[in-house]
Amino acid sequence: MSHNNDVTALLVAWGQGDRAADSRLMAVVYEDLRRVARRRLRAERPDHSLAPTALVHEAYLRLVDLRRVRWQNRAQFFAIAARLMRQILVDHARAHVAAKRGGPGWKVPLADDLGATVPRDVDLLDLDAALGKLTTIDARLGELVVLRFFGGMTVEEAAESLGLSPATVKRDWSRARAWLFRELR
Amino acid sequence: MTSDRWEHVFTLFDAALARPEAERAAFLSDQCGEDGPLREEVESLLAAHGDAGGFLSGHPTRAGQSKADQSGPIPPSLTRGMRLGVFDIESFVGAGGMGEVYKARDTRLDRHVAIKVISPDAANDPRGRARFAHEARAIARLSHPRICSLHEMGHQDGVDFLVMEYLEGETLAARLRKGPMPLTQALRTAIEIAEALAAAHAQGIVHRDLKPSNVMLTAGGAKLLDFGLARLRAKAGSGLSPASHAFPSSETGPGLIAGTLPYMAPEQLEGNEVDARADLFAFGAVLYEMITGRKAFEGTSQASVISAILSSQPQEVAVLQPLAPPALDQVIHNCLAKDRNHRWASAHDVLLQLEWIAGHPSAATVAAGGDQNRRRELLAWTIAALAGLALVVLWAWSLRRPTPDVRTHASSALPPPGVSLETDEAPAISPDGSRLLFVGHDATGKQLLYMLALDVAGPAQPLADTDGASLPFWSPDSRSVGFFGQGKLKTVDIETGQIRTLADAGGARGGTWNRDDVIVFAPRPNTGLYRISAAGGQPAPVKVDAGAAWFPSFLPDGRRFVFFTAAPTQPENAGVFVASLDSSTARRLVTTRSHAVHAPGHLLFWREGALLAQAFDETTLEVRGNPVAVANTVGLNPVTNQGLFSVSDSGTLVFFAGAVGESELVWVDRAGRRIGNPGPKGVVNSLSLSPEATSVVYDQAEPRNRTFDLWRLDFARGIPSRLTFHPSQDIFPIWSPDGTRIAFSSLREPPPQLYELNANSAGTEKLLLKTNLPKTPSGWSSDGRLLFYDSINPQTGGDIWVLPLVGTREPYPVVRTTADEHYGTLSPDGRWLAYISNETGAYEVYVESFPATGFKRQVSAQGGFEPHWRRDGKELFYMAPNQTLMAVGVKSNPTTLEVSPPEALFATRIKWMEIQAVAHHYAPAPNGQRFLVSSATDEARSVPVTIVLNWSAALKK
Repeated sequence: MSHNNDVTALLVAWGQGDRAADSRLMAVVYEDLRRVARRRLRAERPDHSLAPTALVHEAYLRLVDLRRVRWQNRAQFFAIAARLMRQILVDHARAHVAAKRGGPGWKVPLADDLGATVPRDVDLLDLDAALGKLTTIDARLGELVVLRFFGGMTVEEAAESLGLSPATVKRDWSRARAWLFRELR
Repeated sequence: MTSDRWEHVFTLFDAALARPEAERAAFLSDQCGEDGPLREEVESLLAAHGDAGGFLSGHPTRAGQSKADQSGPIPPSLTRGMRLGVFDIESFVGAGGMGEVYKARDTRLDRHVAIKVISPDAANDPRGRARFAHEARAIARLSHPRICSLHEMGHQDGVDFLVMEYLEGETLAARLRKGPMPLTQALRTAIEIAEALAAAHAQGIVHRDLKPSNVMLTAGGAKLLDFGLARLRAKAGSGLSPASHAFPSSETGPGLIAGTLPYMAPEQLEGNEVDARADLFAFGAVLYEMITGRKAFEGTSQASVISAILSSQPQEVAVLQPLAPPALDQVIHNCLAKDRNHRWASAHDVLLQLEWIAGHPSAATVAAGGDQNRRRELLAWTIAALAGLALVVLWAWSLRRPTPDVRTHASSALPPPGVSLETDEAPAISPDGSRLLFVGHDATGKQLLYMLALDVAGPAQPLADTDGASLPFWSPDSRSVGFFGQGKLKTVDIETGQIRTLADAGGARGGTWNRDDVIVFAPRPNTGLYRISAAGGQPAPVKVDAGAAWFPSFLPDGRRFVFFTAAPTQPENAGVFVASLDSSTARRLVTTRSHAVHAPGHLLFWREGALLAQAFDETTLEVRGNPVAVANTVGLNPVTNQGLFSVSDSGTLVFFAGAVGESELVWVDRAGRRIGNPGPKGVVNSLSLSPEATSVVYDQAEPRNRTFDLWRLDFARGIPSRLTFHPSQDIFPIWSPDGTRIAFSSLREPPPQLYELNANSAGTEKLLLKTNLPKTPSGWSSDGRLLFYDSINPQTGGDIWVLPLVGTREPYPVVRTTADEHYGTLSPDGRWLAYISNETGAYEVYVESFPATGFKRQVSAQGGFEPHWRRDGKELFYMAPNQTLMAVGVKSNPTTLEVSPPEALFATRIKWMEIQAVAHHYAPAPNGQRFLVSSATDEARSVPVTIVLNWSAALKK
């Protein structure tokens, strides 16, 4: 709560062209997201999924004075939050591996039960590595996966954030998904 | 691989995906040729795509359990016959936020109770449980007839449960799913809720989660459920902040709106400490919903609901529920203040207000407006009919004094399924009050008369062979109906269904029928009145000494009648006049912008959004006293000036509340399929596409005061931005061919003058042309040097003019006849002018050479409006009167233009308007393959008719 005005001011500054506000904004939002995510990771039952959209929206509500921030800045906030979310989840998964506590790590459903292949999960760290590779091939595809998967954005929101048409985003999403799935199977 | 190589792989992948699976192999062989690795790469991606299923569509999940375990309804954990302490479980009632609810029998006291089993999570921390118990005891001490009692807390075998009063009834949420509540019932329920809140607040207990699903409507009145449980939940639930309980998104999934969100106060959303005033906010939102049937704050996502709560005001109650007393609006408004310091100080204050309203139904008289009135009237006939928001009415609240013995009863009628009401036209009640006629559209879009028998149950029925019917009026014996359709005055006998065609009437402005079977009607806007026998014959003019007379309505003697004069160029002369078949002398009775109808002892007319009744002596033809509001929000068709109401001799009043209908911008292809929905919903009047169809400019009404401003939407960005901010009306934008400028009309200096602004820069308006006649731009020449516009002249009606934007800048007329011409638009090669004219009686689309050489050709077949050229000039589009978009192929020869027969493309859902509104409801993309259409929303098409019985009881003291 104490960050409330900070974030709002940073977003407004960002909206007015102060690019330095970007990194400061990252720092504040990261701290908040990490705190909430940790609490969730501790509290939730193991079979619950962690819905990034919910966390990010909550963070937004907590941190931003909606009456002072324009919509475009909102998209910026969510793009930042999506990148942070990836980092938080990956950090968490790494910590698990390092601690070797034996508990289950975070997994990504690779295919749903109705899919043509045997359902199985893929490790979040593997996904992260594959995503890194995809980003070197096509940075835009990598960014899109971050926004949609870790940021929970819809096609339209991602299009807005990337400055692309929804049609292009849909096409890119097919490309990215097929590439990642192939890489991970 | 290089990035070029990847791009190649991905491009082939996209292209192959777009093809049917069977054709992909051949496609890839063809594309890849000898490049085997390329083909393998693409094929393996295609295979991965096929296998990926829901990959990345879910969320990161902690491994260990399969997804299947989480899905599907969870079976209740207790079943009939099981026992919790002294409680016998009888049945499962439902699952709520805290856990499962069961109906059970208390074996000690032999009474039914409700048992709420707290989910194990909520109480697994010992300190949390202690706090939980403490709070529960405080709530259990709350004893009030309007609060569902918490009897006790129990614990058995690791299960915590609450034992509560068992209530029979339905929740307010279930009730509201059926629509708004009658005013008296809403008020009574509101008072009961306020009593409960006042009692709890007095003991320091805040509900924190007041919402319709927490109000139970029992035979003994409303009871509040789950008092204070929100707090318990928050305390028990692993240290979540009070705010976060409302976002159980990890349970409901992203994008779903948590149930309580729409009722949360701003301070609750911001996570601040909550006090009793948060309950008042929720109370205001619930009260609003009870009365209007709509949520006070709505949105398609959590973020948009939150943003609405934090920053916007719900639409006025009076718009949705015209009979609601203004004081009720004030109560709601004060509850919904964003800053809690501006809300009512306590629930007790709210309770006193509501009790006062219940005891003092309001009296509202509406004074004649001054200058603002005049401006609105000017606007009236320039602006399109923007019709109807929903309402349902039950009891009339405009009683001047409470009169327990005389009640004004009101109800509402919805059109039958598949039929949409034409809310631009008044419903017509028969003189005996037994039947209601309205104009509707069937599933195919055909416009017909529908009749609803009010004394017999059953849906409204269409009257056969009334295609295109409008402006119905009844014979005095309630057995026949006059109407206008397909350019003719017709009658229909409602028993036999026999149709009789009497006379031409190409742009009718109403009719009336007297007991001698004389029909007086206005065949066109500017031709004056005619009379004809209902049995047939030749129409003869009826002279009246006033401007163009519209909407005649006979007085009881069958000789004298009242009528409306719009006086478009001298709005101060507009009003309702009285004249007679026997003399042309006309005298003004009231100044108003709407037509008037006579009811015994009264004239009813519209003014400033309200329906007024003024005492009227049928013998001396004098109005007396001040007009009194009969309903607070009644619609007006601002084009025809018809108030959207009618009244029977028997005292039944019917009306549409709506004055403003929502539309949305949609892209459709040539078959009418929706291929995109680029814009937000709003009251859009007229639109114009940028040259490359990448942006649209439109005039949109600000919802509260209905001021139109220009807005620009860039499709790639998806967010509209406002171009003009003037408090006056900025309307009818037309984008220039080079995309840099937008011409429009503005009422900054009435009558409407021509302006332009820089398309890329808000606030750059400049005056183009000022004259003493109203003007509306209709099109530019391709080189941007000529601006075509409509000008409306009292003698010659609508004319087409050109304003050269270079050189002399002296405007000159292009088409000026005694008929109305509008929508002048030049072909892309600058040689042909398309426009519409009503020279044959009906509006048709014509093309003539430009400059005029004498060549002229009719393009439309059965009426047409809004011509638009395709950019290559090879096709002309127009809107047919049945709202179907038509296409005509054209071929330009040296001196003539060949036109092919019109071809119907698709039916639209534009909000219909007449020709004097020169709005553009659609625009073709440059290639003519898709169209941006301003389409009425489903909500705007489902407005019920309000029916008030014994309306005049409201006037008796």
